[in-house]
Amino acid sequence: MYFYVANPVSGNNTLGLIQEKLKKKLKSLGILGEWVQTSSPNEVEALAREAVAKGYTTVIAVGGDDTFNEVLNGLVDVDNVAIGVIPIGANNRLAGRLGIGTWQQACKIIAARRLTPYSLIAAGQKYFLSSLEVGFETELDKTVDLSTTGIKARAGQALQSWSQARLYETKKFNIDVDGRYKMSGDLFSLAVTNLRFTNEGVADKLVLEICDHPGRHIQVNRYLLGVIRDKTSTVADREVTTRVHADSLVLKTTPASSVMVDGKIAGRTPIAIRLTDKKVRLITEKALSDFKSAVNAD
Amino acid sequence: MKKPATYFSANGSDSIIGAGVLVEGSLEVDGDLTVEGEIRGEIRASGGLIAGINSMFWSNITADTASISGKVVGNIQTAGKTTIREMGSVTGDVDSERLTILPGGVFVGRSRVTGVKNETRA
Repeated sequence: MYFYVANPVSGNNTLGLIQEKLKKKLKSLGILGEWVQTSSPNEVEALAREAVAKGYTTVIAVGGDDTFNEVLNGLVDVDNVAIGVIPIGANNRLAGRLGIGTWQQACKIIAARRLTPYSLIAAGQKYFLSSLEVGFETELDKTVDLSTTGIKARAGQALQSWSQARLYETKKFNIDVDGRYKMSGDLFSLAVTNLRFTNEGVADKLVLEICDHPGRHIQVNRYLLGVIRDKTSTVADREVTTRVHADSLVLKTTPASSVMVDGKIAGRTPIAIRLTDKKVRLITEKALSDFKSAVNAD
Repeated sequence: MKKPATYFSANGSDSIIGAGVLVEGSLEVDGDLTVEGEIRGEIRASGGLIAGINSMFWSNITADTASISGKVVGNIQTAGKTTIREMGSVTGDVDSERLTILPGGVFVGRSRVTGVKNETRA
């Protein structure tokens, strides 16, 4: 029983272009279920919950990272539901981390229905799976409109990004790690991810990565290049200067800064981040799933 | 600041405290630890510790091995080798299987070297 929550405005209205082909593909694979399109922002969580209430056991986000994140937040306290994604958004990093590159590939992976459990990470009142970011990229993503496409639009975005990047000031950070030690210093950008996304053989663990300013001009240039190439850069693309592992973090910055969770602004610092015992079952690519099944069986 | 390719592990499993970062408290690391910043507190690493030339420790250190190019004020205990490199300075006691002090390295304290255990040869 498949339930699809589709975001029609994801990825510059990509859905409108591929919807018929996508549904045809799902039908040919025998996994086309109920299909619902969102009509307003922040509706996805409620739709995902309704799906489970109706008895659906598989909920698929059709959109980008933010749509996927909203589905996750809608199903935080629900057991025995498989969650999948068909990546058609502007940012599809989370799908990429699950081994899903294109919507065509996603259809086959969903049909195969190989499940991998992941722990959710709580950030304030929200939950996320993949990444939380603070700093340079977050501030620029917030101020520069990257939704329009075309050479002229890209040039305008690059110019706008460049002028904003010049104004960006390094922040001070103060982080309490597991209540055992405190870290402080300068912050260009910061990311919190789950270690299992980069190292499948290990247990869930928070990885805190901080980029400082030594390569600032290089980092600014990389961001601008990403804008021009229509490939949003992330903290993970940068040279990390500090990396620690933890179960919980309390992050403060001076001045306060926006926090981006799975591609969506989700609050400001200070913020408490912790690994939870809430697990979601994600539909993942074969190699990832098989490998983890073997690990879990040990 | 271009870092050597070996600076980070590919899978993100090692820990790094960068230059300009201050850590205060008890830092316990599962795996290798590289430090370029300042540590005030206890350090325990199940893997090797690499202390860069800008690092500063006001700490007791417990690790599998230690390579010190920075300044340590505190005791070092390793299961394997401790190396005080050319720019390194240790003020405190060292308890290790082996201790190497390279020319230019400074060591002020007492050392207890247990020596390499007998190895079975084929």
